[in-house]
Amino acid sequence: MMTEQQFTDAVKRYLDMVYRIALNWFRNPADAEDAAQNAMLRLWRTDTEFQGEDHLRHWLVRVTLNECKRMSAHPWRRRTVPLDQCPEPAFSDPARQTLYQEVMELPVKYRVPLYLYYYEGYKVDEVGELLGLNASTVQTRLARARAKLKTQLKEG
Amino acid sequence: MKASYREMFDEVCASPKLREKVRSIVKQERKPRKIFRLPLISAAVVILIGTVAASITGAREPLPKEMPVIEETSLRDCLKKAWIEHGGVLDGEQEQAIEGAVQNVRARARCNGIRLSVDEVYASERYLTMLLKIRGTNLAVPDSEWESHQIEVILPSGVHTEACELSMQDLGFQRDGTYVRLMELGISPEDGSLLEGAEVKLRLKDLHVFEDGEWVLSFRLEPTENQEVLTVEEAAGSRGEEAVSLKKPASPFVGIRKLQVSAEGFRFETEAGKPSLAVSLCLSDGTEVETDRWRGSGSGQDGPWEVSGRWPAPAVFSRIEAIRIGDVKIPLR
Repeated sequence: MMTEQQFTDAVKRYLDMVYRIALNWFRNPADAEDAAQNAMLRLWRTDTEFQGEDHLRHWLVRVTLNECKRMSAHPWRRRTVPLDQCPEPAFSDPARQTLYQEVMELPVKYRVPLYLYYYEGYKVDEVGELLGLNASTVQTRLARARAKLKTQLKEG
Repeated sequence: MKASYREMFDEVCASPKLREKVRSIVKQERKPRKIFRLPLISAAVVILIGTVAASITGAREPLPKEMPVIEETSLRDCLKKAWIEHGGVLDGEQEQAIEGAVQNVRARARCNGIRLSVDEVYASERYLTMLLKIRGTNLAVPDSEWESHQIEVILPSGVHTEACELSMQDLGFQRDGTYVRLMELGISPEDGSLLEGAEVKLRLKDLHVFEDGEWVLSFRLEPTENQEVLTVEEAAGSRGEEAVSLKKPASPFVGIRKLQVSAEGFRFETEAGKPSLAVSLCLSDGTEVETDRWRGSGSGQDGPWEVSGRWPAPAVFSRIEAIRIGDVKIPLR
């Protein structure tokens, strides 16, 4: 079980990661914050003995994804917020704002693997294991995501 | 693009409000005590205690109570839904193609009070898709390590093979309490084709939270009649984007050989280069149906590759006009 200090350290290191995963899932910051909070609550409550930082990080990614799935699947929680009603982060560079908008226009099945692969640095088979997909599915989705982003950015 | 993507997400952070809420967890939440409480408590705490008990006894994590409730469903329904979700149109003829391609089997297994059944299966050359229905109590979260299950496939040629891929997707609970899971296994192309028929035996484990057990489902897959195939000996398709970005080849295209397309799926080879991973089936009504169910094996970005896969559901063969590999549409008729 985690001590208070261990939990506080984990929050400092991983809360942004957890929030970003959830934001890529839901697009809507309010739902993403709920999922992130629930995931961190599970971390506080867990009895898992973590065998190092990689184990803890991997555990948190998995729990966050499970929490996102659980929230999405709950019949009383199913709500879709139009993209133009989702508040956006403020960026220092307008180009990053544009890229964020384009990424958020991708379907969720592309956004999440894209984030895990390009930002968190997981390999294709690791992304597959986290998402319950086979490696070829992950590769296809990454390819389609890149293709769509290129197309959208060209048209924009 | 990767650098700009990362720089963009560097600026996406949890809000101060979220940070404060999470930090306050340690003040508001007390650690759970490792004792069993009376059953008259909320479902959330029951799950927590189940998780704690599991960690004490070495048992498995129970299925969460909050799972979607679904209408009674069938494999045919799942394939129709997948067809639409991947860009297809479901008219009467397409519906009939799906209905006819699914085989009715009757496989049952029972152990430790948990009953399994598989009533329908769908086979393409490499993939076998089935709907697994589970009834019972103390159901465990499915093991993501598929190697803990054993799948044996005996082909008419006598080849015994174990599945090289297994994927599971939990659909939810039907109103009668039956838990429904979509399973798909894949065999290696070198072993043969499931369209020739097979004897299939699934040994599934770790389905009960506390008890060890094994559930064995056996059934016979009948050969698929009328295995029509459209063949193109040589064509060009888009080269894989990773290959294009890693070095600058002379051409964004890669030579495609021995392309075969059927109502169930496709296969092809390349001589020198990894192909694009975006494959779609182009139909006579103008629709294009994407697929994300394929497997490729090859050597590096410039070596030969073999790729085979299946469509989200069986197509009407007479409507197949072309296949798209990346940006290149290859006519088949």
